[in-house]
Amino acid sequence: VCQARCFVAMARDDLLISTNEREFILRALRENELRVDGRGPLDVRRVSYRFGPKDGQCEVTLGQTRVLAVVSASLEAPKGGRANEGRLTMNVEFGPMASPNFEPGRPGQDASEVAVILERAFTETGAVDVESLCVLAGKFVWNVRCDVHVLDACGNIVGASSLAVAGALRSFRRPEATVAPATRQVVVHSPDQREPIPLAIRHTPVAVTFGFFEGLDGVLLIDPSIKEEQVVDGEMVVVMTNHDELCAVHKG
Amino acid sequence: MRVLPGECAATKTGDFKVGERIRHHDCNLISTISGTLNIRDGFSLSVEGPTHRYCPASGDSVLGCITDVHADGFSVSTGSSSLAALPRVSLSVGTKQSRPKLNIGALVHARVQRVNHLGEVALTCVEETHDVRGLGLLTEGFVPSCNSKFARNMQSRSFETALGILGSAVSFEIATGHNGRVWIATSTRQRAILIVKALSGCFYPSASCTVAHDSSL
Repeated sequence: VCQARCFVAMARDDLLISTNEREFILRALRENELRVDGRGPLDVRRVSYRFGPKDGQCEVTLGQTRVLAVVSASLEAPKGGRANEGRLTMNVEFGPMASPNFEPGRPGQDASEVAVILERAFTETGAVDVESLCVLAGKFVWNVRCDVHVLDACGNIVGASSLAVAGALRSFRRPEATVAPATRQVVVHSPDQREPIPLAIRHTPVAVTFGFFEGLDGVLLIDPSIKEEQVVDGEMVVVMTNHDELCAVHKG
Repeated sequence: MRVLPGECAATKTGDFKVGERIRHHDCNLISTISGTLNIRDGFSLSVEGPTHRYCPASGDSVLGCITDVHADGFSVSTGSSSLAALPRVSLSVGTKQSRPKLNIGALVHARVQRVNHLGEVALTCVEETHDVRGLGLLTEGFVPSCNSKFARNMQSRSFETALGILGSAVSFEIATGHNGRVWIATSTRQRAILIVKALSGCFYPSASCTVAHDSSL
């Protein structure tokens, strides 16, 4: 089993973990209940936020992992049979800046997995009130798009992304759009004319990542770092709101 | 000497060997990145910046991880852009039976023998001089990683004194590599983690810093 895992790791040269490290991390957990960076099993790394120069830009640093979320909105026709609802879409990119193993170009499977978790956490649970995004029913609604760029991949990208998206959505201000009653024309006001409006946020989902080990019952880690992610046998992401409501569970 | 991109690196006229990140421009030698100027052996110039990626140079001691086993040698990953080759004959002096068996994922302390112009690296574990001790397979232990600037600092004299102070409190074995990997072995795992914390706190090693961490051990 160890050989097979090593062969998979071989393809990602930079993340190849030596057997010394693997043994050390597993033994430290099994015998001493110690994580290699000195954290307890349920400790999360230090989180810091930085809000960008524009509204809707939020960069979260979770330990060494850095993720930038940028929110933008555009007026479009409504889709999917919902004539009076806007949309909230997530797009996640793992750029080569984050890790030598990430290729430029279209998002791969890992990036799509993170985007799916974020969509389940934010869009499907209605974290943003999409009915308030309607400008002219059937014609124009706001399509809010959240682009997540991973700047530094050092473990638990999902957790950092969920924090960054929550921060970006809260700090985003969309332009005010009014409908002229007579001509039914939509006028989008510039920030100089009318103050931009924040999004109607109903709740804030937070994603917590758990790591499990085969053969080590009862040992689980929260917020695995990059070395621990390579050593864990399975991961689970639980997304909950600040009101103790469960949003999503994802097994990976 | 700190240099900026485009700044003239050569301070005196003479024969210089142009190393990394230095280019010829109009009879001047200018640096291409911001960093510190490094003069090796009095004439070999290179500029070293705070990069995270390791660039192999001959004579460096590195800690590599075996990725592939071939008939005549091993492929070793050092964290640089290309894989390095470690021939079986360079593994250790002795008979075929006395050579250690290396599996994929094993950690080796080796020395860069040469780097050819294509960037391919040849490693050796056989000591030619007595500067670097303890080449070969490393077992057990803990392997944290750090960036290349810290790795270079670790090769300095002041770091050795810091290690001496730390060693008087805790006994441990350490192997440092220019590629930013360190191997530490102690009797207990808690001690290994504490040592890593103490060392990472001393980015620029100084006696006062180590004494402060010593007391916490």
